[in-house]
Amino acid sequence: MNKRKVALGPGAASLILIVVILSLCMLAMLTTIGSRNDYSLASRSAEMITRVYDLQGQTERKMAELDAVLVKCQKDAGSMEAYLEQVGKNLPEGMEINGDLVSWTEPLDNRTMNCEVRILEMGKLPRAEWVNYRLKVDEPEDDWEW
Amino acid sequence: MRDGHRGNALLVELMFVIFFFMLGAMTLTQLFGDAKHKSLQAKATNVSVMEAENVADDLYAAEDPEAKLQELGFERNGEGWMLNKDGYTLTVVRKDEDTEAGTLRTFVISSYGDGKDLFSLPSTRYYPKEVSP
Repeated sequence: MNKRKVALGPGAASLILIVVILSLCMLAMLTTIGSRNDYSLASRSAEMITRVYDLQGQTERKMAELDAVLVKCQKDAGSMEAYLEQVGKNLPEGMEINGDLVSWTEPLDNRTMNCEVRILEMGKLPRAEWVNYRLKVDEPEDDWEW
Repeated sequence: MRDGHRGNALLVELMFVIFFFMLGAMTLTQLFGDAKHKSLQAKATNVSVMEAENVADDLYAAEDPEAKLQELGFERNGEGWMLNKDGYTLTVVRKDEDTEAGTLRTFVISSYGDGKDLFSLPSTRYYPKEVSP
């Protein structure tokens, strides 16, 4: 019976090492790229959501500015018509009045927050209420091309 | 005699191979470790951002925000509130700002996970108040 002798020749161990290290390098590279992409996507998503909430805070701040104008105008006005006319004259920058509706927009990159507030009767609290509070996304068509 | 030289050469080669394998393993372990940290942070960011959005919307609508936070499982922590979840921690801090005709109430919801600040989300609402003419 012939006995086969398995011999490890010179250089075989080095070759195996090279193959193993190269394979591990490939795996490490793929894992690193994958995890970095995941993290980048998650961070961008969190950043965008944070900015949208910042924008919402900005609209509430504008509402506070408008409310201060309403308080000021209520002092001088005798009727609802005179009140609305006074408000129209003293509106904060960027706001428009149409009847008893005050509207303005808050831009954020390719998004726009459309805000609309109704002015309520004089002498009541709250002095104004939200009617429309919508975030519109203007998605460029190129974004859908692969 | 020749077999002995060959055996020695093989041993020296094996020593080199083991040495370089150790060096490679050390570097690659660091790379895998970093990748694991990034994955954990990505997962914590994804999950906590959804949770933070829910908390922000709940607080915006809540008449009694402190009761709402307790209902959501938050615990008092100094001046703020804290909620420990699997892989991340949410903290909520309240800031009130007086304006000419009311108060701006802001809750800053922050997320902390895997040794890093992940994000901070503000939830602001304006409350008008009676102003004497």
